[in-house]
Amino acid sequence: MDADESLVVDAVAGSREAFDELVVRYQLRIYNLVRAMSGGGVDADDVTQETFLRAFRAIARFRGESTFRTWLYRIAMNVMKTHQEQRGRRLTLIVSAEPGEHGESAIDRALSSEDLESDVARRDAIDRALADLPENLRAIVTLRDVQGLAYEEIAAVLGIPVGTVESRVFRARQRLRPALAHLVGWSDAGPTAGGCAPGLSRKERGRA
Amino acid sequence: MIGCEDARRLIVGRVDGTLSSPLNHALDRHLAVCGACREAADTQHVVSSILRHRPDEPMPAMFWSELSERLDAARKQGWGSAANWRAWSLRLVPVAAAAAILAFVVPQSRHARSDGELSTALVSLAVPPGGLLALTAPRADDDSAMVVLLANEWWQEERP
Repeated sequence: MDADESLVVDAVAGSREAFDELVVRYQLRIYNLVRAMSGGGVDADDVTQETFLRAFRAIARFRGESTFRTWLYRIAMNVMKTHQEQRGRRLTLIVSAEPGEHGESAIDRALSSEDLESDVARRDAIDRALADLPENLRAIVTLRDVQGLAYEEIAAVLGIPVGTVESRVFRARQRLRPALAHLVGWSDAGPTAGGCAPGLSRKERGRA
Repeated sequence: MIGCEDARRLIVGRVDGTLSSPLNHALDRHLAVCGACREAADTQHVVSSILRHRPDEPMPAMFWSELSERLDAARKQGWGSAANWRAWSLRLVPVAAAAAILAFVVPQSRHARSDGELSTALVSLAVPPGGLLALTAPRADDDSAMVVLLANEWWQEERP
């Protein structure tokens, strides 16, 4: 049984308390979905509130053809799209503006080895990398890896085949490697292209 | 032995932990001889892990109070409830339409001409932009029925 089912039934019947409980369950996920997807390019607070407001207005018509979670995520994606279209600009990452004494940005300072441990620096680095992806890849990898949705659910949210979800997840992760390399001490070489060819293992490369 | 294209699909499954044992073995055999796919597998695992451990940003302090006010206002406008008359009017329209069709068809069938033909009737269902739903039947004889249903302007309200 869907963990939300009894709350959803009550919310559909008009229980404000049940709907409020659903908000509590999903507010952090939706808010961070918007943050990760937009990198600060939209007002995540406003988009999240608008998402729940639309869900509240439509809850009486919810038929259970999908899970409540899928339905809510679909609303969130639509609201984000609307806000982005209204703003009429590509997603950008807003970083704090004060340059350091050598002209580096706050993000650059935060990515020093000491600050990499901090949640804020790590999250900003990840969101910055996600913001550089094309929107179709960013949406899928965010829903899959950041939000933990299954492939079938992502396919339902975005209205695309499961096979497309899987191939885009692969491509998105490959493209993220250079941007996230510094977080794990990788070399910043990009993903290897081309077909099947024997190559050195990591251990062998270390000795070469 | 599987090729790189199949291997990359299996790599995604392995990262998610959904790969069966035979497919895992098939993938292992490919990775043993393909450096490119080994690197791809490494990338998939590590990037996925980094993203899964993205620290959450906390909710803004005023989020709940602001949303609660907006939900209260929406409730006062009649949203968010099964008793919402808008929702009920949408649900009742197909029922009313079916009843209207029956109200027309039953009298017509009782007054069919001797050669078995039913009176010609036109039933049109029109939903003009203004949201007027009309089910009409032209008067064919004294027993023909004209039923006009008016739906409220919310018939066309947007879906989420």
